[in-house]
Amino acid sequence: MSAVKILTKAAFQSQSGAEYEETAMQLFPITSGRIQPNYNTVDNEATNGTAFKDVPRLGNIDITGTLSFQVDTVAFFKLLNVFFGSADSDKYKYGTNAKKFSFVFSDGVKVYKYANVYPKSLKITSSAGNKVTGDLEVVASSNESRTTDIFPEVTDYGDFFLHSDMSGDGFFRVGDQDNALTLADNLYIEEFSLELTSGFDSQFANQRLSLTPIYAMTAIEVSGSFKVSRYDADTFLNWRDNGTKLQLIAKYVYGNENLVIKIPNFIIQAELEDEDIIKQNITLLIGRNGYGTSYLNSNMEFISPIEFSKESE
Amino acid sequence: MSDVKTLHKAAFALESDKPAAWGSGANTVIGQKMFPFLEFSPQKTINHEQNNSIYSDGFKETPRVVTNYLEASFSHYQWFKGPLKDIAFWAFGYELPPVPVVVITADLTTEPQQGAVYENTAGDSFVFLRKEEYRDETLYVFVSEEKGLPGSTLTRVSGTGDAEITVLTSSSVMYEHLFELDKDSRHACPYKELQKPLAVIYITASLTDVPEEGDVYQDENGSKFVYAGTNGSKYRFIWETGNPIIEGDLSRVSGEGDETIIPLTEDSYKYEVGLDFQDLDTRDKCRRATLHFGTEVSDQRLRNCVCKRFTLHSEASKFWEVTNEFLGYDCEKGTYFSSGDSFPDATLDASNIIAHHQTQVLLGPKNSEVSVGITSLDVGVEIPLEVGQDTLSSVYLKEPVFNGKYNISFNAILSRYSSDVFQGYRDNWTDLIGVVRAKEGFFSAGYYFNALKEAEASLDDSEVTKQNLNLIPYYDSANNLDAYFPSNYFPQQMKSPVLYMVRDSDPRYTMIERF
Repeated sequence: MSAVKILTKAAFQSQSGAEYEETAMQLFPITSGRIQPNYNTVDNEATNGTAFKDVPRLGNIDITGTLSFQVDTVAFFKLLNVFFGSADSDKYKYGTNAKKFSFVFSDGVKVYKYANVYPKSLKITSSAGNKVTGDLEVVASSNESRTTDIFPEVTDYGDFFLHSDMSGDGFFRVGDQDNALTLADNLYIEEFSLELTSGFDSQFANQRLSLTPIYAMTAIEVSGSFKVSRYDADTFLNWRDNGTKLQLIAKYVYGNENLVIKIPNFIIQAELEDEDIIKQNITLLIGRNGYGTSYLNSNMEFISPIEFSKESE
Repeated sequence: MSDVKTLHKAAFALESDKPAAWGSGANTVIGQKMFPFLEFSPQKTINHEQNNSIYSDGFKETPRVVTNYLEASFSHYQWFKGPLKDIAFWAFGYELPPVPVVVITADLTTEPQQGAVYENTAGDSFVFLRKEEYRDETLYVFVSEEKGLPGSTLTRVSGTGDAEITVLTSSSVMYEHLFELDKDSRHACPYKELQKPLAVIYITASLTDVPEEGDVYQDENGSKFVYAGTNGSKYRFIWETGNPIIEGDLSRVSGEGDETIIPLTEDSYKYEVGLDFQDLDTRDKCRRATLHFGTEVSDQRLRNCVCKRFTLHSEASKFWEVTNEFLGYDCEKGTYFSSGDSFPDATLDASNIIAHHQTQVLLGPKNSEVSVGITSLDVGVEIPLEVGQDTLSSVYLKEPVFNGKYNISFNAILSRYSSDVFQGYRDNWTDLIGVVRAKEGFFSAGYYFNALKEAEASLDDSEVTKQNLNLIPYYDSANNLDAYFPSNYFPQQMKSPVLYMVRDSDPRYTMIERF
């Protein structure tokens, strides 16, 4: 049977040991992408008296993938648990991370199992009229296992969030750090996106597969942007000019599990768009919120440049 | 009159295999060498050097021309028939002598062994070469040295296979032309080792004192022939001067064999490679060509063009497209085309164009290769050539020579991923062979890969998952394609990672016989 995309499925879990685990798999609301090994070849450059190259050799095997998915009310929080390394009362933020994934894919031809899969980056995109989507980039330090095994038992994913879930009880708020954000800080935005790196990356030494990634082996960076639907005040331009330190809360409300994103400390770039209705493109330049227990923005008492949380009703 | 693309003309002519000095020796005869092209845009690379001296004003002088050469490309469909084998030789660089074959269809119980000999009712011999299994039919290819036709029945004389073969359909006498990439050179130069084709005549005779190899004889017209041993029951003579036909008796000129040899039978001359006496012929390897390009304004003659890259692209619902990139010495403008110049008849019929649906792709370990469904494929050969000037070349290029090793690529998209066999080939670094060939009736053209490794077998994200195959051809001196081209008929001189074979009705040995 040929592989048909609509019949494929994927699942993951937080792996605690050194081998693939599938005892607590979560169905992943994947829309495209898969993890695949990229085999690098190394040319034979020695001269052999002819103009033909001799047989090359296989070099490093870089196991990577970018998985696009719908941000939902169930699977996304389990993903965040591994991405950030911990969940503290359903709050996910940067700290020491020793977690990794086991992933499994089924495409109707084979069941592909991947162990020791580390998140490399996460991108969240939210735009008017659309669902909230994510792109998870991963690297792995173990090669794929192609089997004819049965796809494991999984927990189903939840409903996906929409951009419009930031309304009603949901909201998008940006303001200075003088006081906690309130209703008065609500904004109408057309687009919102975030990019986060995990601190993990592949690294090659004297073996074909990557060494086991170590947390913070690459710089942790958080960046983002949003587009304010209308330009009707100079607020953002003034914040830009003055380098005013700001804070942000985005709350998506749907069903019983709400997604809240908090960014405690950033300044902005702002520019006006040249369209019939003038909009404002805001780029977030995000930093940590102090050091230790000394918070630059005391309205959000955590150092991490970003925090995701699940609020249940 | 303004120029219009649809009224353009192009012609391709190989330059002489007794090449003139670089910069000269254009083949000015067009005749039937016109060919239908898709894209052709003669371009020159002209570099300038600026006078950067300071003259206390802010103005620059006009720069001077310091480099002037051709660097352009043309593309065309690939055809089952026609003279595009000249372009194939120009691109690959070397061709083995054509092998005369007949192709039949038959219902067989036991497939003949390669090398099994059959005879028709007239006693002509046919040596089994290979079976070709296609989607719609199976063909059996026999070597026909005597250029006979099989008739209705073939009877086995030696080897294994059905004792009698009832021929259902048969081709006329056809020729298999096998092209190899030249491993030694791309510029005009002498043949190396045993590569030079020599005209050979086989005779039978009753001899008392058999000559020694190297003994020289001449016929009644004064044409000279050098004795070069035996092949079975026949004596081999290499033609040296005069006409390559033995007229009357042979008289000894040197050596100690029979003074007079009376040929009892004489085969027509043919070309062979792999023989000693390479100095007998004055040819050189010449991969230069003259291209003519005609517009509504003027014609251009592009001389000393050498191929630096060629590619094949084929995809579902399309024709085979070949693109050739080249360097050249210079071009002149004038009136070169005349009303008498024409296309070969075969290129006037679109049914002779090779289409993707006529293509078969075989991949797998040797003797286990299987036909696979491919939606798109690309074969490419880059010929690294030095682009340089010196004090002898003036503003033009020196004759380009090798500047590195060939880069040969073969990529294909498997239409449906339904098995992880190709991932297995990648993981295990399995030795593979590959064939990309097309047929129309008994005509065939194809690329044959002697040794492949699979570097990539990734799955794409389309609704019906496809698989991207990135195959790496490499040099392997073993003849992994002996089931297709046994060395006794195809004595490959280069062990090229990729071969190109055309089977058609044209006996002309493209590498040395100009038309």
